[in-house]
Order: sequence, then C-alpha cells, then structure tokens
Amino acid sequence: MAHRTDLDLVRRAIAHEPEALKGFARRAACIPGFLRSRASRLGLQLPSATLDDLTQDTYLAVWKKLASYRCEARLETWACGFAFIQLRRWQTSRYRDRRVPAELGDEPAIEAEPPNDLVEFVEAVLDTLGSPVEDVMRLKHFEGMTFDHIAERLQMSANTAKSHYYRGLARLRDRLGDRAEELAG
Amino acid sequence: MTESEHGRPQDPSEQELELAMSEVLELWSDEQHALVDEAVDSASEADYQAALRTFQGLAGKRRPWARFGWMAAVAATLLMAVGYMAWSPSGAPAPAVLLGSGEMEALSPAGEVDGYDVFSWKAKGNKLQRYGLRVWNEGVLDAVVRIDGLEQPEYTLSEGQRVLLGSRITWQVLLQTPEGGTLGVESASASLR
Repeated sequence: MAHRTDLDLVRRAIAHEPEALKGFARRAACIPGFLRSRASRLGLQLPSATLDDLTQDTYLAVWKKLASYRCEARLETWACGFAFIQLRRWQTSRYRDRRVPAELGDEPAIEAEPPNDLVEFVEAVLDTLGSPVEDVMRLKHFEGMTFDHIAERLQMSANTAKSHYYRGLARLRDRLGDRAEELAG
Repeated sequence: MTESEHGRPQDPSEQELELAMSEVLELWSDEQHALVDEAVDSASEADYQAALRTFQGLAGKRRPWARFGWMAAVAATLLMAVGYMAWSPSGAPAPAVLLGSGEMEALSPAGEVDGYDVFSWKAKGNKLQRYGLRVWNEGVLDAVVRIDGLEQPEYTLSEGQRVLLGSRITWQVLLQTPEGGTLGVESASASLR
C-alpha cells in the first residue's frame, strides 16, 4: 500500500492526538475547494452558506467513517469521495424541493450545455445514474475501492455493489454509444 | 480492473463491458484527481483553520457513557467467562482456569509506570495456552490494542500502537484455547507518572 503514512495519521487522529488532528485537518482542508470545483463543472451556483454547510456535512461524514480508511487512495482523494456524495445529495434534495421530476433534475449539465469532450460527457452520464449506482461507480473509479469496501461505505452487500457497478457500466456504454469516438476524435 | 473480487465469478460479458469502458473511466478519473490536486494547492489557511476547529470539536464530543466503556467491556468479558463456566456441557466440571483465579499473575504494567512498551504476565499451568491482549484508553470504548493468539506471556507494542495510548489505560489478558476460546481473564490498570 502506498499510503501507509496516511493510515498512521488516521489512526492517531482517531486517538484524538492533537498533532494528528492538525495534520488531518491540513489534509482535509482541500474539501471546500474540491466542492467549489465540482459545483462549477456541474454548472451549479453554490451560495457561500451552502458551501459551508456542504463542507461541514462532508467533514462530519469523513470523521464518522475515519476508521474505515483503507489506504486505497491517498487521504485527500478519499475525503473528496465524501464530498462527491454530499454534493449529489444536495442536488437531489434541491430538485426534490422544487418538485422537479428526478429524471430531469439529475441532468442539469446536459440540459444547460451539451458536453463537448469525452470526460464531460462521462461526467454528465454518471450524474444521471442516480444513487446508489453513481456512488458505486465513483467510489470504484475515483477512489479505486474494492467491492467489499464500497459495500462497507454504502452499507450494502458486496454482491449488490457489484450488480450496481455493472448496471452503471452498461448504462454508460449505452449512453456513450457512437458519441465516444466522435467526442474522442 | 478485470478481477473478480468477491462472491460470484465474473461473467465474461461483464469482463468485456469493464474492458470497453475502462479507458473513458480512466480519463474521467484522471480529471477528477486533477481537481483534487487543484483543491489541495488552493486550500487556504482559513480552510485549514475551519477544518481544524471542526475536527477538534468532533474529537472533543464523547458519548456520555463512553467514559464507562472500558468498564462495560471488562464487565462483558467477566460475564462471558462466568457464563462459559456455568454452561459446562453435560454437567462436566468447569474448566480449571477460573476467572481471576490467579492463573495469570504479575501483570505489568500496573499502577504508576514510566511507559507502556511491554505488557507481560506470568501464567501457571498448561504451557500450550494462548493469550489475548486488550488495551483501552481511559474513557474510550474501543480497544486500542486487540490481539489474539499470543504464544508468549508478553507483548511489545509497536511504535504505532504506543502513540495511540493515553496517560491512563486499562488492559486485560485473556487466557485462550488454541482455537481462540476464552478460558479466563485478568485485568490491570496503569497510568504514566
């Protein structure tokens, strides 16, 4: 494992060692910036109070799951994985509050401006998959997690996580279709 | 990512699907990692201070019952041991090793000590026994050290384990069968001078 020192830091933070808490906070301080970048890529305007709330929610989620860190990704990447999920939950609740049908609400980036490169297109498709398929796909490819660890994070069985993953891959392939070559070219 | 990690074997069509999508997902993943790198570079001192305040606050929040956690753990182990003895199938005599019967003695560290490097005890009787070790920080429910199947009546903490220990600890040594069953337990508390 390439992130052993991260694991040591996490263990010491769990034990509430003051210096470790400082070190951990330094590493997690990238979360607000990541949320801003993600929101911007999704074409979302995040009011500063919302950004603060999402940051706090992400910190809380990270703290609660600290003991489940397995060194599969570096600490910053692992923490930002929680930011992904918090942001998606916020999007979902926002559209639900506005009584917009979920299938429309999940596609703001596509409706606003058709993606013009392959990565943006993949991002837009992932964004339409909805929970938990999207979460499984992101954890698998963003954090490089195993199905066992995805299952632990999302509180489902490993086989269910696996089924969601392949369902997501199939939908991604269907949506990409001929556009993959077109966009890559 | 073509390996079948868990449960059912991987279907060839799933393998093909995974292979077909791997390139685009890798491109996507690279870009997300670049976003993380950007966020790391752009994190401000204010971001750090806010994160630190949050984590210090979360670390300071202990469940009201947590400070009794180690006592609950000791009590649970005692009950298990008593239960095991009471159960004694087919009216067979209880195991020779009784709870707190002195089968293990001279537990160290105990009382005020200079450090927690080595945990040791002396065992009487069957030398084929195994030992389990549990160490709790005062007021914290989860054991910091949890090791089973020790073959020697002592254990030296690793550097990583040592830094996790606070100034006051409670610890237990469990007398175990080679199969991992618990036959008895002795406890001790210690604090740093």
